[in-house]
Amino acid sequence: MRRYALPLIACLILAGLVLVGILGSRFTVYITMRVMILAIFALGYNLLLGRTGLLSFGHAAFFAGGSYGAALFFIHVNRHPLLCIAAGIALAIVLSVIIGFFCVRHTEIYFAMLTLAFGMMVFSLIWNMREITGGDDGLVGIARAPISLWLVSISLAKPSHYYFLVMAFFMVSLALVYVIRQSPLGLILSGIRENDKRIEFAGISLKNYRLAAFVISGGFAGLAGALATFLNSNTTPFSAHWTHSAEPVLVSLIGGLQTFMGPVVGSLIYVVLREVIERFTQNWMLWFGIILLIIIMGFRGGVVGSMVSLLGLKNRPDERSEGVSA
Amino acid sequence: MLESIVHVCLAGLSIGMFIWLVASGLTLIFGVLKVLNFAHGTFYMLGAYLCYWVLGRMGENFWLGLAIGPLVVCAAGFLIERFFLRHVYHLALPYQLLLTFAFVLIFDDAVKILWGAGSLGSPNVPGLSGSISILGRNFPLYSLFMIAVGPLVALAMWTFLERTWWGRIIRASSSDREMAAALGVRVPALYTAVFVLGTWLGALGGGLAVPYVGLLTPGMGEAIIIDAFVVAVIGGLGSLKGAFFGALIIGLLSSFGTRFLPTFDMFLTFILMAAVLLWRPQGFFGEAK
Amino acid sequence: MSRPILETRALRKAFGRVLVANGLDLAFEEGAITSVIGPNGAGKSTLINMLSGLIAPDSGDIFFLGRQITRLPIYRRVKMGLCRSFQVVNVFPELTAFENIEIPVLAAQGRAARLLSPLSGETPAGEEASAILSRVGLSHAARSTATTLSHGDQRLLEIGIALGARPRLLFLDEPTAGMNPVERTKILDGIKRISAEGKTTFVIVEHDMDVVFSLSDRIIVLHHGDIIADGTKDDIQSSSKVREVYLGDEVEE
Repeated sequence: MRRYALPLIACLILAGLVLVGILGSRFTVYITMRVMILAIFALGYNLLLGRTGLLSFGHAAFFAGGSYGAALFFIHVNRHPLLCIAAGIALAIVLSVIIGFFCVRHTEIYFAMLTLAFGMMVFSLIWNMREITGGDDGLVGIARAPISLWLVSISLAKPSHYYFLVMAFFMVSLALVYVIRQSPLGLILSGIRENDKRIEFAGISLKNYRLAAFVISGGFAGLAGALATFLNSNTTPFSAHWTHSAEPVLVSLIGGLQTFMGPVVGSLIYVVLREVIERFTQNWMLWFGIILLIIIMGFRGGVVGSMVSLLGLKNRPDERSEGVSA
Repeated sequence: MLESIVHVCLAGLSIGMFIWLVASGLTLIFGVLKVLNFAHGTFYMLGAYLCYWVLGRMGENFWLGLAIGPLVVCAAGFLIERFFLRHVYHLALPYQLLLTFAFVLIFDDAVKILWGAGSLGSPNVPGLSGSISILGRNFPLYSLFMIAVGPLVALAMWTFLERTWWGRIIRASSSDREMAAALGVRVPALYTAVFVLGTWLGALGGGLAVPYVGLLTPGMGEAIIIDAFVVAVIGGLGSLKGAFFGALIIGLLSSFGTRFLPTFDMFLTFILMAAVLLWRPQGFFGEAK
Repeated sequence: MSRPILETRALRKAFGRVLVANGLDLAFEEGAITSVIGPNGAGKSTLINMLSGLIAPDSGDIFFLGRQITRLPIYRRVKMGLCRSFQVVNVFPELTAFENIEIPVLAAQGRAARLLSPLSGETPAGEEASAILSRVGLSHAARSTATTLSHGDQRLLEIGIALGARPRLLFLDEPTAGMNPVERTKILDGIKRISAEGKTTFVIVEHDMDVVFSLSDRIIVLHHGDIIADGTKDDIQSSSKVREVYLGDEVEE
């Protein structure tokens, strides 16, 4: 059964997303885009947290790298959206290679603090280098030019058109992360999480493979950032702030750190719940904090992990449910 | 020029001492419980708000507010440790950090519900409002007071930890938990006590901040917690002495940075933090691993 | 005699004022099973830790296959074929036994960094991992998570991981500690068999004298960081110095 479950789920997701794109109201389309962008951020991030066991508080910097990379490319070089997005991802990857090079020397709390420091350095640069980044105003007026490929030109100006570009990137990210999780590299990263002292004695360079996970997740963060820039038509320095780095952590945790779909489900819950709660009260953080408490105290497998064990859908009877091992 | 340097130094010292008050509790908790408490900034905020609330009801007496407000926050600290944090010590780092982060979210909104989302002005402190002239320029009296309070708190903590029976137990448990337990220390109770003490220090910092920062906002804890992290890291996680001098360094760096390099003020702080983590992860005063 | 597979020259290490390696000159011959013994604190573990790269010597050189490796990172030594197992269980706890062994195998086959092809397509790695599992007698537990295995099986898995890295020289740190007699026989037979195949040279640190005497072609006795005896079983048993500092303690047990 499991053999067919994944293609089936993928088709269902795709069908659902296409339906939303065609039939959904403007608001639904906008919210779904936000879910998908956050999910791309979190999917990549969870390769680092859930898979490799490293807690980064600096990935907002790579999100911002993608965001500002795309925007700067748009302003100074070329307005083609795909090129802008590629530029954003490239900047995010360059940043994550540089920052990762230093950060992967440490683990646990020291890694978290180091990524926090580097992330905040990026934030302070964006904040203070007004001439380039627009400072606290960010860069504005990042319009969605049509995508021209050879003979055809597809307009993205309407949100419902841009939606399908985001959806395409989301599905590709989903597939990529799935493939990486099933690949030899995916197993090595699990090994690093499980026992980073032994992995070197298995002939694996701990630093290089940690860096690989760091850069891959940084690349996905960059993609998310670039897509967000075109969604909002602007950039904001707060996309680099550490509080923004907490978002993929929360989302992955809510969905389930050890599950593939966890970050996606978590993103959906995070964005939708926030919208719903904010309709009734100003205090969505209060409710969100309580949900977080409940998950940490009682459902550490996250929503997906808990559902899987509740429904007895585990593919291995002895698979972990406790999340990242201590 | 000299006057200006002296004033920048004094400002830096007062900023440093102010961060030290917050970082001391954070460091104490990390040293013993090995938990990095995101909610510490929240205790600081709660301390500030409760101090404000109490003094509003006690005839605008700042000292009364300062005495009572932080004690109320201690109750919150007690509940958090006893019923939540205690159950995640054995779990991986993300769970511990995010548990404390959940309380940041909860209390940030709770404060908004109770006191409104806007900022509140701060009261005057009898005898400490106004400023005095130093080398021909005015310097706020309350900032001088902070410069005096910081070392006093440090001295009190040092005396407590080094000279009392309780302090010895805490130090023993922080260096070897199993050994302390084997010698009959009730470690869980000790953890609760240390957490409450740390909470009180954070809240006291918040209370003292009321007149210093001028206004109270629901997000005030999030800003200070990062400063406190920086200070705790620079001094060496868990080292109180390190946190004290780390706070001085950051205070001076920030005040000189604002004065002479305003564009890179924040950048300098974090580059210092990263540099320490990379080349001396045990901090300036921490013991080598 | 053939060229030694591993050689140390004037290897020195002190922890504070305690000397644990006092200018050791050692040469291990290819194909032989060598045991390193000595009372607690003799410097056995430190020696293995230095040779495998876990700690750096204060001075001296290490040569493996004729190449200077004194400052080489651990994983590079492993890739050259210098591997080790650990005295305590040191496996990947929440992975299956099969995956535990697949990790070093993938690294040895140079396929660990592949990220866009499925693991299930790595047939050679899968076959090699299965072969090693059956070698250490864990085929039945291939799909079990490491933590669910018995202590003895975890020790076997421990050795399996070391074998997965295709060792030319394998240090075994007390391979039979904590095993029951059946498992012990299994592991000793396994070591003899693999050694007889001629591809792997074993260096074993062991407390159990039965194990040492039944396995070893050569025995090195360490005491306070010095080599006090080096030779065959008979040489060691007849050495008065060994009797004095080492076997004396052992007999009293």
